[in-house]
This record gives sequence, structure tokens and C-alpha cells, in this order.
Amino acid sequence: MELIDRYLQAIRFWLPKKQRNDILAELSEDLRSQIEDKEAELGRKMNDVELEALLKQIGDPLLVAGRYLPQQHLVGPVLFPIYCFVLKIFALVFIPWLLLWLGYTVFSPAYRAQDPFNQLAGLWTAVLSSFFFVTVGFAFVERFLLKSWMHKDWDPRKLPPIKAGTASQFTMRP
Amino acid sequence: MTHGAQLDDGAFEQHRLELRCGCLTMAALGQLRTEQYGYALRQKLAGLGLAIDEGTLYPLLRRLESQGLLVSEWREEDKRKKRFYRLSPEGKKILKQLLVEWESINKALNQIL
Repeated sequence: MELIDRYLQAIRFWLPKKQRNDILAELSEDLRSQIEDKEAELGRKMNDVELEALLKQIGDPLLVAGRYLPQQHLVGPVLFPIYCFVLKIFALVFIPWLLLWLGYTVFSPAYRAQDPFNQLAGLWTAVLSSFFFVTVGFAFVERFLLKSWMHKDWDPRKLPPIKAGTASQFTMRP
Repeated sequence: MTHGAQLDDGAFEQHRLELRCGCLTMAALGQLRTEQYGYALRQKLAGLGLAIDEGTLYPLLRRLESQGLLVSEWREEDKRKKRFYRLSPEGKKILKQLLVEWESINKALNQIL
């Protein structure tokens, strides 16, 4: 039964600390019952191959443990489109700088002499850190503010006006 | 077109799981009107044609308990400790409401399908 212990230990690693022992006690009780029933049916002890097959069927320890955890995400489905939108804006800001760097390195010998890759590294750091701070910011909103922002009493009258020059998408028969 | 066939299987599997999810909740709540421990509940349900694997049932029971729909306690049976679950008064109320919902969905579906 060493294999079963190893399996339970692997599940244990991913479980929330508070419920660990409880979840494992229940799961191992179920496993024990399954094995007993199977052995009664076979009329002999289960061999290693059969035990392996049983565990394989129950599934990967990470997946088994994952079902006990609440669904978690850094940036959830509600905020994700806004998150992508903000990242796109940042990308658009960085592209001109990249082009500028490219232009300088290609066309200016004086600039090339001053270690242009150092400049690129600076740009790269800026890209990474803005990605980082945008993500942290959104994760913060997701975690602490989103619930209070999603109010049911949103006001349709506060929707932005139609952009000039766009035709109506919505007509009702008179 | 093996790729297409695989995609179809994936879609079927996803919809099957979604369909089963709510049904299993109701089955578990209904069956726990009498107190039972997990493995016995699984066998009972499997015997009735609704097999549910351990990886699905136990997290479900825990979720229902954390919502106050089930109560549980560890007790010894046959010299082994088992966790017994049963429906709480709150669970009874919600199961009744779910049954009403279920019946109206069923009635509508029977007309559509």
C-alpha cells in the first residue's frame, strides 16, 4: 500500500492547510472501501498493476486536489477585456520608442557608438515593469474592489452618447 | 477529419459535464435526506444509475456543507471513522425550491424536444 500513501501525499501537498487532514481522511476511507470491495470481488489481494490502474482512473493528484480549491484567478473574466485593452494601449506606447531605437541604431553612427543595446535594455525593463504593475493593479481590483464596483443599480442613462457618424444598429418596426 | 471529430467529442464532454453538474447536486441532496457516508452514497447513486466518482462527489459535498445545505460528522462504523452527511433544514428548503425549478425546466424541455 506504499503506492497509495505516495498518492495521498502528492494530493496533500496541494490542499489548503486547514482542511488537509480532513479531506485526506475522507478520501483514503473511500479508497480503502473501493479496494476492499474489489478484493472481495476478486477473492484475493489486489496486485500492484491493479492498484496503479485504480489510481490512474481516479486521476492526477494535482487535478484531484484542485477540485477542492475555490476557483481562483489573478484577473477574472469580468476584468480581463479591460486588462487586455490597457495592455494594448501600453504596447502602442512602446512601439514608437522601439521604432525610434531601431531608426537610431540603423542610421546614426554616433548613436551606435554609445552602446545602443543598453538603451534597448532600458526599454525592455520599462516594458516588463509596466506589464508587472498593470497586472498587479488589476489583480488588486479583482481581489478587493470588483465586488463593490459591480452594482446592480447601474444607470442606463449614464451610458455614453452615440459616437458621431455611426448609423443605428437597432431599429424597431414602426 | 479526425480533428473535427475530436473537437465534437470535447464539446459533447463539456456539455455533458455541465448538464450533470446540477443534476448531481440534486441527487446528492435528495439522497442525503437519510444520513450516509460518502462511499455508501456513491454506491447508492451508482446502483440507481447515476455513477459519480470520488473526485467529484467529495468536493461537491464539501461545497454544499460550506453553504449550510448539509451537515456532517465523523463517526465510527465497523471500527472505522467515516464522515456522515445529512441534509440540513436549510438544505431541505433549498432542495424543495430546486425541485420546483427542475419540474418547470423539465416540462418546458419535454415540449421542446
